[in-house]
Amino acid sequence: MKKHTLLLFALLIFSFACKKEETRWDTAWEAPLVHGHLTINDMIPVEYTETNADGYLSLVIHEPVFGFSLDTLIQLPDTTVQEKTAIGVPSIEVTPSFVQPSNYDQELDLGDIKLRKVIIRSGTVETKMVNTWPGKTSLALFLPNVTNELGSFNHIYYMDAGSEADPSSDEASFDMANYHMDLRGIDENLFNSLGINVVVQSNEETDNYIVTDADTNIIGFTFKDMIPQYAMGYFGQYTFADTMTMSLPPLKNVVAGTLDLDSIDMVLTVKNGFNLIAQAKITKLTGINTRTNNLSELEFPQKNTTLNIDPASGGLYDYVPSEYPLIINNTNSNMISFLENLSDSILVGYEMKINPFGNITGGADEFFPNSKMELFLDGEFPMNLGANNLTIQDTLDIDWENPGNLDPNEVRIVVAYENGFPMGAASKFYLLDDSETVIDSIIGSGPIQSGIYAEESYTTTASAGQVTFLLDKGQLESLDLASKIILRVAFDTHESAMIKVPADAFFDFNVRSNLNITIAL
Amino acid sequence: MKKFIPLYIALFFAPSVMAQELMSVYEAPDEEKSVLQINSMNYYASNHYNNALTDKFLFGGTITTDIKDRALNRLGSLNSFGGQAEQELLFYTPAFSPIGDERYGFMVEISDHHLLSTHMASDLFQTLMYGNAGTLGDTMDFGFTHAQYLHYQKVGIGIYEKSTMSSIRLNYVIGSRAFEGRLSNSWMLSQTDTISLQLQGAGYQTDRFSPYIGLQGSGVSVDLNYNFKFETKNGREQILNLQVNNLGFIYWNQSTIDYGVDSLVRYTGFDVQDFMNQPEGAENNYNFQDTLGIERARGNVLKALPIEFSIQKLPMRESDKKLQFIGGFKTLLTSDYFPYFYGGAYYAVSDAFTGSTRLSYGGFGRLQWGLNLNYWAGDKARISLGTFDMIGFISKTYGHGRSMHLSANFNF
Repeated sequence: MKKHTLLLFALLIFSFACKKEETRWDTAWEAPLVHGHLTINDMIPVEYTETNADGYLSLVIHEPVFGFSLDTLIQLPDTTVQEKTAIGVPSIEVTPSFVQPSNYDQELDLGDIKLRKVIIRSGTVETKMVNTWPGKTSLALFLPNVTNELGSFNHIYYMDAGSEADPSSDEASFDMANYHMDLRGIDENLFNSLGINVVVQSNEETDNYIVTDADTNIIGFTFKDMIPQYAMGYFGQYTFADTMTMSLPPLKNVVAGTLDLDSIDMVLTVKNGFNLIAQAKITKLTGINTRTNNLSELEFPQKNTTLNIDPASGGLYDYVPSEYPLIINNTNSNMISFLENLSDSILVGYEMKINPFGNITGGADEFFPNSKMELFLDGEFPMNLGANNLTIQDTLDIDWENPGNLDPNEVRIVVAYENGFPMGAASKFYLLDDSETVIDSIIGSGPIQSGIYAEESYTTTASAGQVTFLLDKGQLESLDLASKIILRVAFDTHESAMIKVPADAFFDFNVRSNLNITIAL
Repeated sequence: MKKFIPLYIALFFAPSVMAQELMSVYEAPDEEKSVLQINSMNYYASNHYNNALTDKFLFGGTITTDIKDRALNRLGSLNSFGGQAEQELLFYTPAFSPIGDERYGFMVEISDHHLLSTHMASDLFQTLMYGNAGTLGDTMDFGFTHAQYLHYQKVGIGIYEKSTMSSIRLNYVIGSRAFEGRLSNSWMLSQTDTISLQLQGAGYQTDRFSPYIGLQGSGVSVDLNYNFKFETKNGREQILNLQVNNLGFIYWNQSTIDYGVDSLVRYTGFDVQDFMNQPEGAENNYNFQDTLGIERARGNVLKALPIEFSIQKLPMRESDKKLQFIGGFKTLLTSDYFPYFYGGAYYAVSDAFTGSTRLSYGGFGRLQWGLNLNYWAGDKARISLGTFDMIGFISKTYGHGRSMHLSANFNF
């Protein structure tokens, strides 16, 4: 009996010690997820919108769409120049008080460019003085036309006694940033020329020595990585022609539907930030919709017309680019159809001529700091439009991991909204596996209803409603397998008609969830 | 070797047998003999959660709506669930007296103690078991929810009176692990677009929950056991047993984590503006603990041990009456423990075999029916087996816990 009792206890204890399966129970949770109050400025920055004279919203753009600098034309190549100096008599006894001054213009090889003045942004010059005189020698280098806020460039080199076979030397390196270099030479009538003053003298205290005309000293300069921030001269005659592609990635997401626009006002301004004469020609503006393979060529009066672009005005610190405005609107161009093509890339063809008439300014071309040639867009796009099933699609990577001890059975996502935009939307989600095959879809109970648009007053009365997304067990399992999700939203303006978007349009929403979850411990 | 078999069996079961022990029978001591006493007292009980529910947590399985509903419908202002598992080895020797008085002997104790004491507010139970979807608009009161778990060992020495076995012990307490948390004014209000959660509370936990003997705290305690003899009007000797245990404290080490919270959080979901138009690379990190305002700090924590007090009228083995009344009272100093009362009958079948039955109410549980069996192997040994919750073994619906105890005395 006692044995049996103990055995019974042992079995009972064993059963207590072994938990056979998970403890599970069903729960239902309701929780808010996301809420928000969206206006047009939450999607488009405030600087791109304004209320137009008719009291509704316009998209405005004031920014360069394309530009390039000419600094590649005004490069100062790395270069080494040397000047040899010798006495002008067969021989001379050099005493401690001997002085041999000399002045000369050192020409720099800058190709077709003829510079009169440059201000260096960055770069260095390495100097090396070589002495063959048989006594201690000093060399004072003075560049009177190379100046900074401390004055003219100068340096004294000290060299031991040398010979033709075994010359002595002294070297120094200088940062040339912010130096103003007048390249007109000593007499200020040349170009690409550095005026140089050199004084060679004995550095002996008491001894004399003999120098012959065969003892040649060398003055050497090596310019490295010289980049100008300002240049004046004649920059040469150039012609550029190219066709470039501007990609508009957001428009690649438009996968279906049409957009109707009403009016466009646009000013495309060619801006010349250089003090030089130029000519420009826009040869091509082709929009490409890669989804439909439709091309749309923008035509406007000045297209393929050579435009004479005046030089910039002002000086180094107060230059004002010249502007050549091209007015493009729906009366003088096919801009409406061009935009309605929903192009996702644009081909821009252009020609640009610099100094098309040669050096007619006498070498007065100027390159200012940060100046460039650019195409500047001032555009007003009134949000007077009609959308018909205009569908935008985007693909997002997802990495949904089912939490181990929370096993969702059914998830109900409710989007309660108040839509003050005269535009509705219907959304669908598609779940893709690793091979990008659609394995499931999630569709809302209906579209988000458009606000009620009153054509006479341009006002929109907000519509309230809610859309429910119900994810059953199967869809939740698909979510576990999915690696990508496609979000497809189709927009329709109110009654698919032309509407004007009011400035105070808004979209209030509150997303809440109802989760039926089995908790497993 | 053979005579130690019962001891081996007792030691084998001691850590896992479930019982709730109040001394089952008093027998006059042999003042010349040493006594080795092994007690294993284990139980868990609840006043409102029946075994159909608690078994799912113990053994696994699906908690059906019916099980949840039955539990929820019974919940009240105190919904306790708790238990104790105590394994104790006591050795009494009359061989010497530490105080030099021959009336007293020396005793040693080694014991291991687990205590779980909880109360869950009805609304918190409903929220956890059903979710909040069915209580939108209702303020769910989580106040006074409490959970405490304590595991410690005691090593003690003391003196006992040879004639009555009354004793006093001083114990060194080894704290192994613990946690405790208590909510005061705390509630949750779920609405369609807002969840408001107010939390006020405090708690602590030890740094580690392993190994079994954690050595994360130290303390001292005093245990008193007094057997008071008296005679009835008809001259029969009776005995009252009074016990006061755990008069002491544990000082948990400086790695102990102290928690505090006093916050009101209104969750309305994420604002889409927190995600839109953010600078590139900006991150939105959400820290749940920070949001709830839970503060934590490490440092020593001094905690009193849960004092146990009991008084009971014991049956006497030497009585000439076969049928005796038994009864008593016990309390445990935790907020979740309701004073425990019992009364019943003891019957001596023979000199070697006796049994008792009792009805009890209180503790962590509710009305219970208990059985206890005692067997004497001559004057050398006694073994007692029993439970104070037979209903718990019989019915999942009406049972609200389980208990088993085993006690063995060896005289030599």
